[in-house]
Amino acid sequence: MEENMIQLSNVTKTFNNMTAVNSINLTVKKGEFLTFLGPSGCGKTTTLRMIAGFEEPTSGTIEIAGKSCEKLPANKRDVNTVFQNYALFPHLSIWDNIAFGLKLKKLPKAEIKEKVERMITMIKLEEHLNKKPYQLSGGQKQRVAIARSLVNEPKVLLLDEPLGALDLKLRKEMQLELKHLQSELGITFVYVTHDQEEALTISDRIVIMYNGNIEQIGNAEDIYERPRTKFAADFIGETNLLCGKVVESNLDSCKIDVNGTIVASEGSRKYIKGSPVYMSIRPENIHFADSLEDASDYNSLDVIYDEVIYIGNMRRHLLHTPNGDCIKVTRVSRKAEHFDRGQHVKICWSKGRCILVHNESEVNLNERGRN
Amino acid sequence: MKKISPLGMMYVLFFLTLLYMPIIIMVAYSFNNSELDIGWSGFTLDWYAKLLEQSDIKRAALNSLIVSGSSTGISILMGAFAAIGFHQFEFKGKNALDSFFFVPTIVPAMLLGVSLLSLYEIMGIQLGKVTIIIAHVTFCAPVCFNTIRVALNGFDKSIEEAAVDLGCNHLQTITKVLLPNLVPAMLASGLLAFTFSFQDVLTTFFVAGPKDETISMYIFGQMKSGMKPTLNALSTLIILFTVGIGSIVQVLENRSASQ
Amino acid sequence: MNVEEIKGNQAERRKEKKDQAGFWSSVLMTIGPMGLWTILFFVFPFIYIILVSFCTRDQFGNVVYEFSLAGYQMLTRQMYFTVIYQTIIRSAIVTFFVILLAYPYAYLASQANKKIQSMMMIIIMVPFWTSSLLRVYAIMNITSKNGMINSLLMYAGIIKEPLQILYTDAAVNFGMIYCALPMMVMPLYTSLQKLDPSVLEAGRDLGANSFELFLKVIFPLSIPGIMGGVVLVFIPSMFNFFVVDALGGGKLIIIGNVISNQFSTTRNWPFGAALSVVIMILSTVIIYLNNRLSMKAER
Repeated sequence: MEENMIQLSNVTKTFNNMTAVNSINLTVKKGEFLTFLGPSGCGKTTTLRMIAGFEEPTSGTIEIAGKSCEKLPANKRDVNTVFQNYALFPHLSIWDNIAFGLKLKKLPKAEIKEKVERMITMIKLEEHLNKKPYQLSGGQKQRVAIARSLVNEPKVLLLDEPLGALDLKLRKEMQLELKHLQSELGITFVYVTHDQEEALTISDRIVIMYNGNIEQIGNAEDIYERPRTKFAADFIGETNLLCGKVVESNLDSCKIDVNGTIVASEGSRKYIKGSPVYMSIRPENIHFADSLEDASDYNSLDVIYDEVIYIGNMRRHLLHTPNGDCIKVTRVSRKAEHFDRGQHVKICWSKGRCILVHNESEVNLNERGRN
Repeated sequence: MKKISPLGMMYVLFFLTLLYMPIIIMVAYSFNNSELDIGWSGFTLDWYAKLLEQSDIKRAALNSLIVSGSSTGISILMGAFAAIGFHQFEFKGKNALDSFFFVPTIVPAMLLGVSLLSLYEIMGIQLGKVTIIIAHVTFCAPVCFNTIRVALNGFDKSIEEAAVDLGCNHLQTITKVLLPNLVPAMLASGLLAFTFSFQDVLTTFFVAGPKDETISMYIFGQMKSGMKPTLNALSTLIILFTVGIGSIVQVLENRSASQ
Repeated sequence: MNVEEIKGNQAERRKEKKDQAGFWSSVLMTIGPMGLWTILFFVFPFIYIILVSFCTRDQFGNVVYEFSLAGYQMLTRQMYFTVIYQTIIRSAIVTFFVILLAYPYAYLASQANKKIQSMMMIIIMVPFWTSSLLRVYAIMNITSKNGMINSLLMYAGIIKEPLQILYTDAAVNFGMIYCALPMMVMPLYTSLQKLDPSVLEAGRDLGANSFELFLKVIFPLSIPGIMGGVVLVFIPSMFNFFVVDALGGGKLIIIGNVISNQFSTTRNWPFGAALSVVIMILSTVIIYLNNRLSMKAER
């Protein structure tokens, strides 16, 4: 049990008549870097704030380091938060900002001095000790905010989209810095972001949230290669989604009917016959039938060509199915495959390079297999 | 935005001349070595010197300082407390209470004076400095309350959450984080309240005790008996004083706006 | 429910009550002082004044606490009725001229670029910070027989004898206008500033000349500002008795003078209170109308 740092059990949060977080269950392991990922309004920030103690769950329990604390106020929890817009105290110097939490704990002066100075050296701001927040740049303020939280040696560090206000280059630098910091210190980090590339870069595990529900939990590879739900497939990277019904389901594969065409997926989750599902195929996994030598083990589909967009090393082909769905195919620009607008084309993809996903709210699953 | 046309410029100049001329002339004449205002007879500081000799002026000035100083102090305290209460707590009728607190500033000053006078009469309170201070606080506290409240509204909520996150309870959040950042607003509104209190005549007229003439009341009394060069000098000094305070307020507001 | 659950519920309710008590005591501690003060020193006096207006007085000038409409009956006397009537007319005229003078300045300021805008507003601030009392005294200075205006006119040979400007009706009106000018500029400027310049351009695009643009677009959109200024000018001008005393030399009176006299020299508090109540009602009506008009105009 000591392996689990945070335990959320059936945690729900409603505001007036709106359910922001819908009975979620989650275990955060000690020392891991866990990220909540999802679009605005999915409930990720609300969940973080409930762990921090700024919101009280409408129902459910939260345990941190084995202690039940959903009713404990924020200033009594052994967690610290890094805020999106830094929230540095404008009337205090950098030194005093970082020392703030330590002073409240009434630690001896010498100990405070030592800890603060160690932190300042770690974030490399020794020359700016006595400056006020408004004199620092965005990146510097960010580091002070992190230092101010970490110096208190919390059991968990919560970060609410901390890099959102930084420019792209700085953001990428800070992502790596945070990752290194976390593995060096071994503190459990719980991170919130809407940027999927960021999540894939830094996290040990990712929790995808949508409309207050957890869509999927897994590491970067799990989530990209084996999305569970339609939302998860669509949100991470790019994908094509073909809507269909399950016609046959056995040990090795699952066949679905997409508007008259039968396609199969191997190694997917099993769905019961008749379930409405989506087949998710990444654009890089689709080929044009003409250019394949042996397409026997492949799924194929007749589509109509629209246009191509040339993006340097890749070509991005846009096509559509007879009933109007958009299909994206990306191919490396070696051979120039040329088609005309309106031309009927056959595309195909490997049965092992596609996956079946469902719409979480639509389907009552009977599933065997992995998560 | 375009530049102002020549016609417009003329009007602006006319308007500003209209506004400033009487004041400038009065200030100029306070240095005029002549009793009678006709023509310029030479520069002098005599009238200012004469001011210092008059004990009733000195007493009135002292009274003003005491009264306005106390009113300002009480107003800032009460206003800040109430503003913090409004900031921290939500309850039904808060908006109505907000408007209610503001009403004393839009009620005609004379009516405030007259009604307080009746209250003092029925409660048997003797008129004195305290009665003036009470009246001044009644119309100054809302000014402080409003200014501090606006400052609190603009205050980043996540800074308060950061304080709680780092271990502060309610009281510590207020004393260690809110109050230090409210000092500019408290100062600016305090200075504003001071000028309102200092210049007030209509209310003070009714609630002042016989020996507690403020400087404004003194001037009013003197005005009725005609013009005097010493009065010019006194007026000039007071104008410098209040404009000085007003400028400090402006600077404070500009500084907090840019931070 | 078993015993455990009942006990749990009770404990929760007790804790809730304790939390509630804690909440309200904190609210009282912070907002209480100001609330109490406003009630004690603002609401009570007003209620009391309304009470007094329905009382009467004895021959020594003390208030007699018996119901009587004597105070209100005084209002119907020819003399006082005239004063009320004349004050309202005078305040209306003063307000009209203040709007006339302040409007162009406020408009020009709102159309200027940012730097000039703030300069123009700060320049207005200086007279604003100067108390009305001193500004009235300044007017006294220049309008007296030896004052600037007469000196200039005589120097230019336009007149031989000094004119009687001070202590006339005109002086009083001018004094009131002069004191009220800054008060009108600010709300007008605020309202005019909110004018979207593209709305004006649209008006021109559709063929309006300057006069039509003003009448049909600018003026209607500035009504909230005008109304705000009216409230700040009209109502106080009925009470500003020191302007009238200083510049009118005791020959003129307005409502403010009447009320003030009842509470000092004449000692007829019920009448003073009655007059106050009547004017308060009038002012409230004006403020209410002002709010309604500006809300309508803002739609």
